[in-house]
Amino acid sequence: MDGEVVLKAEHISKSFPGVKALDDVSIEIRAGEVHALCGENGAGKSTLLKVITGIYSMDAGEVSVCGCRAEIRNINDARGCGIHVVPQEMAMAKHLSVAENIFLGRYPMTRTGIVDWKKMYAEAKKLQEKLGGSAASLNVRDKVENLSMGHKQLIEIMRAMIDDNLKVIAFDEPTSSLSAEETERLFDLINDLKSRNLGVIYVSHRLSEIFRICDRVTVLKDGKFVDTRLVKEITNDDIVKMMVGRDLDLFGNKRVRSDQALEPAIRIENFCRAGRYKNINFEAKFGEILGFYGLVGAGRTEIMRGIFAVDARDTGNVYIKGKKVDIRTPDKATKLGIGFVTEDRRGEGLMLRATLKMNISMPNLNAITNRQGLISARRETQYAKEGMNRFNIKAQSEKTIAGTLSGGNQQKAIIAKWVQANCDIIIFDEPTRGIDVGAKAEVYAVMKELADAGKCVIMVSSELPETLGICDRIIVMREGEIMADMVNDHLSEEDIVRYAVAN
Amino acid sequence: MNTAKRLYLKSKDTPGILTVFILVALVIIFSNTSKYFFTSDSLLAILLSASTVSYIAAGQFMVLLCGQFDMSVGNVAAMGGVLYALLVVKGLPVLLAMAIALGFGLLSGFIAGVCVSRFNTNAFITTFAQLQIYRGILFVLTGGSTISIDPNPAFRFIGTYKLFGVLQMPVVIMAAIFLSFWFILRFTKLGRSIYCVGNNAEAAKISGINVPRTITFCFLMTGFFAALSGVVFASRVNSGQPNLGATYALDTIAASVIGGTSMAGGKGNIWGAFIGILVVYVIQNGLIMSGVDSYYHYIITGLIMFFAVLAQTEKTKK
Repeated sequence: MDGEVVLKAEHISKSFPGVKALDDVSIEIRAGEVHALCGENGAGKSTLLKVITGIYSMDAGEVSVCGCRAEIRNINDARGCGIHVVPQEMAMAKHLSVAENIFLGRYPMTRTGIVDWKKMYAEAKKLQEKLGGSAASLNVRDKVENLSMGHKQLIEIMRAMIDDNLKVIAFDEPTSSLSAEETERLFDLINDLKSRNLGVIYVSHRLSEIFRICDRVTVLKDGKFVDTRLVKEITNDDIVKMMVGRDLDLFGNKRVRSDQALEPAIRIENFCRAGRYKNINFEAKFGEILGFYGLVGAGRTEIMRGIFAVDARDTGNVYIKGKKVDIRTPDKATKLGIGFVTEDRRGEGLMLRATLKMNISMPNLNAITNRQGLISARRETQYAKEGMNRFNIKAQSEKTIAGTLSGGNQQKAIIAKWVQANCDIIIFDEPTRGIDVGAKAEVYAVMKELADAGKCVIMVSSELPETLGICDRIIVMREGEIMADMVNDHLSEEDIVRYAVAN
Repeated sequence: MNTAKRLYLKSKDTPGILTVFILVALVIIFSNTSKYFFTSDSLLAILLSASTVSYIAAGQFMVLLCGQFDMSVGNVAAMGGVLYALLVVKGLPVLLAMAIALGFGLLSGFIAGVCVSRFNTNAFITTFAQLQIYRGILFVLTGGSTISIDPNPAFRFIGTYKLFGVLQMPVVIMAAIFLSFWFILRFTKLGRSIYCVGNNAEAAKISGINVPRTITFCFLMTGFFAALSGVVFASRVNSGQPNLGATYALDTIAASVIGGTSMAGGKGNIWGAFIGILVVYVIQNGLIMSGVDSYYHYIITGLIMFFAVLAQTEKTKK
């Protein structure tokens, strides 16, 4: 690592009411390196990015770019200094074209003050050529609406590339919603950015990615700087240890499961939905964790939404405990004891502006009513507190607003609401997406605890290690069809991937 | 100082408290600008004039709470009043005429509710279209002129009867409506569902709450209480007025917002909406009594609403 230091942030501190989000943190980025930023949720990674790009003002500290002290008060200052962030949630004007989105806020103008469309499309094409690879396949006149997440990311990167003085580009959880193929392309692109002598900051929860593309890693914990190390000198466990401050056994002990005596919980017969999935037949049992593995878009989430009647399906029957049931609306599913921890935590899981107790009691209002059928504040508090204690939800009180919790605690709150509602069959869709390792371990422990208590747990996941780590049985899907249904007994990653990807 | 600050912060958490301060401030100001304002007669008159609109404010509050609007309320009220008067003139029994007028309100609310919740139409446009249709029907029915009623004590009962010789019926109805809405929102599963739907309709749906039914219920409430408002008003003034309620939609939305209701839904306090509608009427009546030229009323009302809403917004801290 001998590139010139392009960005240096020293002794940065930032407090919010009640929390010290950053406490004397320093980091330096060199030209031509990919620098990973690691830490649990709430460790201060995002805050640090936001301070560097001027979205937050810092309380103390200094930022310098190429050796000169920089005053960054807002995002435009940051751009002026050549610092650009590709955010996790990409904000696009979806009805506008690719080129318009690239130049959003910076449209080229003619001398008479109207938009110079010709120039804009020409410049956009030039950027495309400069990036090459999959960027070349984009049509700059297409609307953004129908593009994949990967392509939207490309637009963000092109936005950054407009500036000739671009020095640092930061990626915040860039792969969290990309398919495997798109991820590969992104890695190629990052290597390309690196060879252009840019400094790249890479924030991710996926440690395997850090080992693939990063040169150095800086770990933060509870807002404090832990260490900066060369990636080739350390191991996965080293990073985890630095992040959580202790050794962490992510998946815990392998559960001992007696599969002969298990009662069938839910059976799906002949599920079809044109273009999404077909001929789906499977059974899940009480006391087991059934994993659904497949690439993004294999149809797993759609099947679960079909069972729960969130989305329609063409054909198919559902049997619960051997009895045929007719689920037409989600409330029927919840009445039958099915819980659904959705993939989109914030959009479909929680009421972010409401209190924790309102969120926990939402699926089971009957539990908090008194004999006259009226909601009792005392019962509700008690009910919510039980859930919070059971799942170790860290919040000031049951009256805390759900949106202020960390991702891990939000996820636990969603799990709490279903378990408190006495659901026997709980579907988890990507339950650990975007949450840190500490919270992940807790979510796994909860799922196992539920299975041990005789509940039926179904997990949809795109991450192989967790699927292999905690599932008793694994169903592999590809392009809307079930390719394999295997007991997880000495299975290897290859055994599963073989079915998940086309030959 | 600390107590004051704590109180201020608490008021930010509790929607509606700030509205009480605004109301008190307005009363103090108008008491100084008009010697007639702070008398029991004039305060009662204000309460009476606010009462019929307050029924709509209560309904509008429910609709806003689940994240929707109802722009049609003014003309539904006019339809309620005109139907009530017209049918009585045609010789129908008072109770039957009233039932038809109120039934019209329910039907109107039901149509809006079903369109918005099942067919996902935009609430603003849907209810605006209804408003236009009703305006047309009103012209057809009345030719644009007021329908007067021959002396008929039964017709006038609901708008003018004094309970125990003192309590005006419109005010009694107002109290009953607000108390029952408070009860529904605070203690029933239906009330809780409304909050949940307003907060996050997707999450509510997946948690087993019947979202279309909840939204439809709220529109039924605005429809019914708008019609009731028209009926009571017609009874009070002894005529059916096709031009009633031009400002009701905005007045009632303003009342809820002044009372701390979030326009995004899911957050609000029914008493805030109650105080809010009083604020709107205290401003209007106070200005008249203070002898302010009526042309200035709109400007001043607008400005006060503007600052009231500004004071209610949550601070977004960087």
